Amino acid sequence: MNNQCVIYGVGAWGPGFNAWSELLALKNTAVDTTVVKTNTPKPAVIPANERRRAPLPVKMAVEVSWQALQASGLSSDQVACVFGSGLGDTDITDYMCRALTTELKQLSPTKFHNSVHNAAAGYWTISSECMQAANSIAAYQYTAALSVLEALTQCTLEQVPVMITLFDAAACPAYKSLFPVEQSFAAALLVCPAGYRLDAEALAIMSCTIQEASQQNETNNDPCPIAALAKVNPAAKIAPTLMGLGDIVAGKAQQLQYTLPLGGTQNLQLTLQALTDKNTSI
Amino acid sequence: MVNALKNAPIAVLDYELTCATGCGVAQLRSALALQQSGLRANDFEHSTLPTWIGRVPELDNFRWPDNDALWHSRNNALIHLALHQGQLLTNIDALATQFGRARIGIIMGSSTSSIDRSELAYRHLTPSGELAPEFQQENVLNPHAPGLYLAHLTGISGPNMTINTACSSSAKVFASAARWLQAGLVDAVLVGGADTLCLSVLQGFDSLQLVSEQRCKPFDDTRDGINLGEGAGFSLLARSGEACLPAKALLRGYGESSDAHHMSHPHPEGEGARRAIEQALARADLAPADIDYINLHGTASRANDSIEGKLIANMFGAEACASSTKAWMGHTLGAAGIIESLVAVDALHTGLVPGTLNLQQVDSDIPLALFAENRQKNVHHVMSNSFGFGGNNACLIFSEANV
Repeated sequence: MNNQCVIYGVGAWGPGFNAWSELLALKNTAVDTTVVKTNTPKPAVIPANERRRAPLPVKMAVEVSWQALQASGLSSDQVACVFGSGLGDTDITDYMCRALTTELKQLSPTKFHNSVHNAAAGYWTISSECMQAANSIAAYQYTAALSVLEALTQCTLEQVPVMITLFDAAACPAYKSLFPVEQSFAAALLVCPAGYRLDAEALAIMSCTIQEASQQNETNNDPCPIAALAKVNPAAKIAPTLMGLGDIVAGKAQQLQYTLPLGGTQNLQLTLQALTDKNTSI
Repeated sequence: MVNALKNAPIAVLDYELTCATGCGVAQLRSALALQQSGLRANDFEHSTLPTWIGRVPELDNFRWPDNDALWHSRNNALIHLALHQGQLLTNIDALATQFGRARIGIIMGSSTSSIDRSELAYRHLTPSGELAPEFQQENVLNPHAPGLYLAHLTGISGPNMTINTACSSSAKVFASAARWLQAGLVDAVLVGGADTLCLSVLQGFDSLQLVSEQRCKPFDDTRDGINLGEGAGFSLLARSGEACLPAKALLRGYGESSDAHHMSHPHPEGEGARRAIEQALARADLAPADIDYINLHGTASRANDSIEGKLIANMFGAEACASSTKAWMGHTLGAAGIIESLVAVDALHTGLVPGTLNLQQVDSDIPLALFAENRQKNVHHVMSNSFGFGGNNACLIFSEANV
C-alpha cells in the first residue's frame, strides 16, 4: 500500500551537533566528527529531578523528540511514537551484570526500571504527557529501517501522526569488541498522514518500499559528515537521509532515494520528495 | 474508528507455547484442567531470593544442536523448545511453500532478550575486562536476539523486529503484525514472545519490593507481590481466508496506549489501560457484554490488581468472567502478553476458563466476582490485558473462527 507521509519536524543530536540545522551545517566544515565532543543534552521537557536520574540514551532520545515536536507545533498527546535502538543501554547492562556478580547482588531500583528498552518511550510519554501508543523496537543493525517501516505503516493505516525516534549511545567498554560504537547519535522525524493539516511548514514527503537486495536500487551517495559513525551505530544509519532532507528543503533536490538494509535478503528503499505547495501537504 | 478489524480480521492459524504450567499447548490444557500450578520454591541457579518461581524444568535437559555455539543463551534455548511443540514448524513450512520465506515476517516480544547470557559473560570476563571467546556473540548480546534467532531457526527472511516494551511486549506484536498484514507488507507473520528467568529480573523486581515470598495470590486481600516466571509462545497470523491453513481463531481487536504517569507505577485510575481496552473493543466492534472471558494482567502486586480490578468492574460489570493466570506460571514478563492471550484463545476451543489460583478472599476494594475454581462455559470472544513498565498498555480481543 502507499505509505506516503509528510515530515513536519526533525530533531538531531550527535558528534558536533545539537540540532538538525547544526548537522546540516557540518557538511561544509572541516570538523572531524570522529573526535569532536558534544555536551550531554538537557531536554527541557523532563523535570529537573527526573532528568538527573535519566541515563544518556533517554536524554538524547527525549531531546530530539522534543525538537521535532516543537517544529511541528503539535501537542505530544496527538502523536503516537516509535522508538528504535539497536543496542539499548549497554552502560546499564554493564552496571547490572557487574552488580550481579557480587555476593549481595543488589540493584538500584531506579537503574532497574531505567534498564527496560522502552525507558526512552516511557520518559517521553510521561514528561510530555502523551497517552498515545508508544512502541519500542530493536532490530540490531536494521533498527533504522524497521522503525521507519513500522512508523509509516502505523501513520498511514491508523491516520495518526507518528514520532520516529532513533538513538544509540556509545557501547560500554566490555562490549566494544562486538559493537565498535564510540559515539552516540539520536534523531527524530515527526510524520503526519497525507492530508493532515498543520500550521507548521511541511518539509517533504517520505515513503518506503521493501525490495529484494539483489535488485539494483537508486541511492543517493552524497558524502555524509558522520559517514563513519553511520556504519557502526545502528541509529545513525538514518543520518544520510537527514542530510538529503536538508537538500530537499533548500530546493537543491526534488527527489532522493536511500537504501537501508532490512536484514534477510531485503532492503528498505526510502524516498524523499519535495512538496509542490508547502502549506497544503500532498 | 479508522482501521476496524471487524471486516478484515486476522486469522490465527496456529499457536504453541511453553511455560512452567506446560511444555506445549497439550500439556498446558491438562495442567489447567487439573488445576496444577507450575510454581515452585525458588531453586534458580545462583539465586537465594526467598520467593516462588515459574521455572521451565525441561530446560534442564535441553540439548543444543551442533554448530550453534554462538546462539547459546537460556532465552534462545526456551525459544527453541517452544518452537518445536505441536505442528508449528510443519505449518511454518506450509506457509513458506505457499508465500515464500521472504513474504513472511517475524515480530518477537521480549523484555530480557538474552540478558541471561550477558550475566554469564560477566562472570567470565577476561583479566583485561573483555568478553571471553565463547561470549563474543553479537547476535545474542543485543536486544533483537529473539528475532534474530527465530530467523536462524526458521529460515524466514522477511521483515524482522523485536518489540521491547517490558510486560506488554508480546501483546503488541499482534498489533504490529495486524498492521503489516493489512498494509500488505507481508502475507504471514510469525509472532512470539520469550523471556527467561535470570538474576536481573529476580533481583530487579526485588529492589522495587515487588516480589512475594509466598505463592502469588492475584486479587486476594492478602496478596503481597509477584512471582517471576519464564515462557515462550508463538502464533502464526495471516489475512483471513488467504492462507492454506484453516483459522483456529481470529484476532479481532487491539488497543495500545500510554499511562503518561510513572516508569514503574500504573496510572492510579487506570486511564491508560482504559484507552487500550476501549480501542480494542471499538476495532472489534464488540460491546463489553460480548466478551466471554477476560485474562487479566493481574500480577498480584497491590497496585496493579487494585487499579485493574476496579477498572474492569467499572467497564464490564462486577459479574464479568475474568481471571489472572499469573499463579499458574508466574509473571513471564515480555512473554506474558502472548502466553496469556493464547490461554484465552485456547478457551475458545475447550470452553475451560481457568480460575485465579490461590485466591481465597477477593480484596474487598475490588468489586469483581472472581473465582479460584475453573469454569466450563461457551466462549466466543476473549480479551487479554498486558501492562508494562513505562506505562505501556496493550489489550487484545480474539474471536472463534466460525463467527
